[in-house]
Amino acid sequence: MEVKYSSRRLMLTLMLCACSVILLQNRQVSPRSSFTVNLLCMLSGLGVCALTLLPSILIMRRTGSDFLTLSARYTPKLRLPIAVICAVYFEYVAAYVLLPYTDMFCEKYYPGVRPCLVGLCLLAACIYAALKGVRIITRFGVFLFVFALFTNLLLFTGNISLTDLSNGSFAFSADRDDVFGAFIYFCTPAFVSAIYACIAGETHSFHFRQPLLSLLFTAVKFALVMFFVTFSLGSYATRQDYQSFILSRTAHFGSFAGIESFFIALSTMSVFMIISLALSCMVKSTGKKRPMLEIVMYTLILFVITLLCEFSRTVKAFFSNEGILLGLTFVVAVCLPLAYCRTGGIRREN
Amino acid sequence: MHNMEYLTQTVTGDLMLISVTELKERLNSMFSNSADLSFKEINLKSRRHLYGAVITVEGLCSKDELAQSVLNPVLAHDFCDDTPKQALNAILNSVSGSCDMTEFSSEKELISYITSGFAVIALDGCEKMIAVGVQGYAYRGVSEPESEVVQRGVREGFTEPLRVNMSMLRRRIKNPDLVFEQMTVGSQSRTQIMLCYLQHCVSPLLLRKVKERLKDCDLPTVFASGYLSEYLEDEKTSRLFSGVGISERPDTVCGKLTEGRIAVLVDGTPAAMIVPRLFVEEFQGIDDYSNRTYYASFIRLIKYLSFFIAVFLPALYVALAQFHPEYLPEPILIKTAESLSRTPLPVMPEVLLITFVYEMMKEAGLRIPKSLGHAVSIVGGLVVGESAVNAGIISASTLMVVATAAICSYVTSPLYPPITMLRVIFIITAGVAGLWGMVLVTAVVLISMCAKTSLGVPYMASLAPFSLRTMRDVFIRASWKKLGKHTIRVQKFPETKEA
Amino acid sequence: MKIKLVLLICLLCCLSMQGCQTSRQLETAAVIQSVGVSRINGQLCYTFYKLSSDEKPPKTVVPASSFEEACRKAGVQYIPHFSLAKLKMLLVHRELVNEVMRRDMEYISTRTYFSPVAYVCVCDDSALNALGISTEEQHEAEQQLLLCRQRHPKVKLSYISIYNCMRKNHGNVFDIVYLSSVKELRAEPMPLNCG
Repeated sequence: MEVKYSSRRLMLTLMLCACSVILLQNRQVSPRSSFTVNLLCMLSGLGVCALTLLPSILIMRRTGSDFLTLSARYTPKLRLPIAVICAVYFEYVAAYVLLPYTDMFCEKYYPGVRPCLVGLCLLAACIYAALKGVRIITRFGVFLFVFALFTNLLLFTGNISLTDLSNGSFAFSADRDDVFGAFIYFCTPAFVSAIYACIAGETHSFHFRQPLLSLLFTAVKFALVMFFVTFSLGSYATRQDYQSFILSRTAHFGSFAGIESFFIALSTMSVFMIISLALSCMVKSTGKKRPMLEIVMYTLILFVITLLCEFSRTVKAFFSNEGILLGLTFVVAVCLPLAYCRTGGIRREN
Repeated sequence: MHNMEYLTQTVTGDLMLISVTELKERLNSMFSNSADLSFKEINLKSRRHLYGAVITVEGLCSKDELAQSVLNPVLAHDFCDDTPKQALNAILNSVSGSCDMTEFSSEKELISYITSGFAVIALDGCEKMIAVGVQGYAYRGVSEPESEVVQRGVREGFTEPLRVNMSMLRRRIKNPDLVFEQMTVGSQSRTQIMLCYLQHCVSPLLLRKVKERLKDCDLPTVFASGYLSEYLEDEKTSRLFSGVGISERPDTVCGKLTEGRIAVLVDGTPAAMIVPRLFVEEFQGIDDYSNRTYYASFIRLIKYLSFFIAVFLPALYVALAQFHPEYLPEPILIKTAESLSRTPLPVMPEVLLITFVYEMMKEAGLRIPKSLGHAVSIVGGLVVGESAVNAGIISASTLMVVATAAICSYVTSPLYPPITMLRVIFIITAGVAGLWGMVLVTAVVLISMCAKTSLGVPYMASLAPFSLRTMRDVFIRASWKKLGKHTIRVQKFPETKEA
Repeated sequence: MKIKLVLLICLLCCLSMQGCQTSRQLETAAVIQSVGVSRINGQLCYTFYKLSSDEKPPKTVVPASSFEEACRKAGVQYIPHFSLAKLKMLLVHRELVNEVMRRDMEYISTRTYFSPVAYVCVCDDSALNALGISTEEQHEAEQQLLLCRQRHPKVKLSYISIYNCMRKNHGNVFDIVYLSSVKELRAEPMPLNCG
């Protein structure tokens, strides 16, 4: 029997995944709105993320399992459609995360490198991690958490000297279109709810404060990045993509700079972790014990998507669409678990 | 008496021949008239003219002991009208003064006894024989272990004979809980190994696993503990880091036994294998527990830092020099650029070259006679080092980086093999893909380390899976008042597979 | 086992394809420490001072109508493998402030490789010439800039702060540093009308 691991560690890993959204932020969320408005958008976005977590938490509390396990147990005939939905969703999530990462890497950090090659190397590493399983990936998350703390400390303290409160505004001024866009953007960390929905059953010692704390830390991280982008970078932030990356470039301690290397390392490992988790979830939905072939197949599809995106803007726009991501997240993180929430409960009573 | 019991447990076989002459022929044939087989025929004082033999293997038994315990009393005793069987019983019960005697009747036992240093008494016309413990062979005395030198603490290390090593453990744990369980491995060498554990501390499941794995060992010969360590490793886990600990110190082994670990002593090896082994243990030294808490913790942190420097420094240097020169501070950048511009090779091959040359020199230094060691040091230091820099073949900065990494790799000497391998892998990765490549390989290595288990215990336990309770002896060493309150058994680590 | 081998080979191929040809070798890289903008013989010129241990810093004068063109020409014709990531100072001749300041700052703001915390200041002829005399003079200039900011906290020195002021105070005035060298290097605040 497989040994269960701590729910706290899974939440820590999911928090790191959620935080990666702000690491890969490729435009200023709402340049015409004030910091306060953006903060409110962020809080409401993360509120939506919390809501999407609820169905899985409910299943976890009632049955100590996740919807994928319940579906395999109670509705084996639905395994194929559920596996297809999961595959589509997690391929989308992986592509959604991988594309801005390769873009950022090739545009900002190391111009001249082909995005598909960066993607291929990363995906090869992800295959190895996915083969090891979610439990091992969450162990890796512990090390990443320490590294993230260190990098964020450098990132924020290194920008304090540049902070000028006159660069932005705390007043309540907003642009309606921008606000909606920002709200949708801050809902994207909800993909962690879908991951949680698939693997929650492998954990033990769940407590309600765990997801709350995770979301709270994510909110603090988002708020800090937004604060420094608004007040340290100011108008400069609107001139280039990937504000978090620019923040790491401007961070310095006297003559010591080069924090962007830490930033790239953190983003690389975060993206590596998300894709590995996504692959693991896809494989879990198929119910295979030795999933090498499935993992390689899913990774190849992902690589093909990356290749297509390099040549076609339409495809890239499709895989970078927050609306589609949220729609799919709603299906995987809310609808499916809600359906099994009742099934599991009824069976349990029987 | 332990010896006898163990040996009789392990050997079974056919009944013996009754004639001593036939026995002699049989043994000579089996040993192909080997020169060290001694077959001393004896005539006992008896009216029945009892005739027999004392069989030994030269060099394995003490001649004084043989004379005192066997030959003198047996030859001096008057057996009167005793039949061979009665005479043998008399020798067993009253004639010989040895306390280490046993009766047996099979050929396998005979071979086992004489090759273990026993003297075997056979009487003509008697199907049974007696083995008398008169072992006495030359062996290296107890000395300070060279690979685990301590500043404060005991200077005793394991030596080659199994029994001596067992006694060293028993002297430290005067408790019936300490159990030695003998097994024999190697179909040809028939090497004795001893499982040591504390009955009330060890997990029965871990113990069962160790026994099963050792039983599965199908090697014909086992001459050192290293032969067995691979059999003790978990299947399908990374072999880069070892899941089996090695210690030459009885005090270290005793400490590990109290934490529920199992030690395996191999006859002829002056070291014990300890399972399960965790990554954080590689940074714990016996001196840490003798030193003041603050100093022990400081040294612990230095060890972790050294590990990172040893693995990453040369690769970091390659990555910065080749891909990201702007990250180097100005004075270092200028000096390094000047130094590198005078050398013929690009940075990565240069670093690799010096690393390989260093490894060759290290191997040479280990194997050459001590009297030549000094000469090799001079050649290595002056010719390969300084002259190569002066001639512009290698740059001074590269040499310094590789040398620093080499020194740091000895701070955690048990990790030297994985450190060396990882260093080479990272250098190549850094030369090909810069810092990003290093990050990616680090992630893969971390995943493989996190996935590794040692007898079902996660190798990275204490860190990942994180356990605050066990952190008291990881980066810092808590005071003995805290450590001594309760011992954390290895089977209690989170996510330990006990099934 | 076969799959692992194939994956390993693929990975090695990719790694070798993506890294080697784009690497900036330390021994051949030209790390630019400061850039001076002045008019030489009536032609707008960008002087790139390289980081070096030499007494006199090696410089390359690139005639160009803008910083964008200067960077392009420098990379192609004058200084291959040059890097602006360690740029410390951008010195603009006082007569060229109105002509080049806004345009070049706008261009720089779109480029990642330019260090956003580099110092930007205005200087006179003699200060610009002093920079080319010795590396010591460059250090001295840097010290003077920092001292000036210490004495006048409101003065804008880093590129990012000047850029933000230019965007924020369109048509208004703020202080930047003016570096002069009549007898010795001296830095003092100078109002800049960013209209």
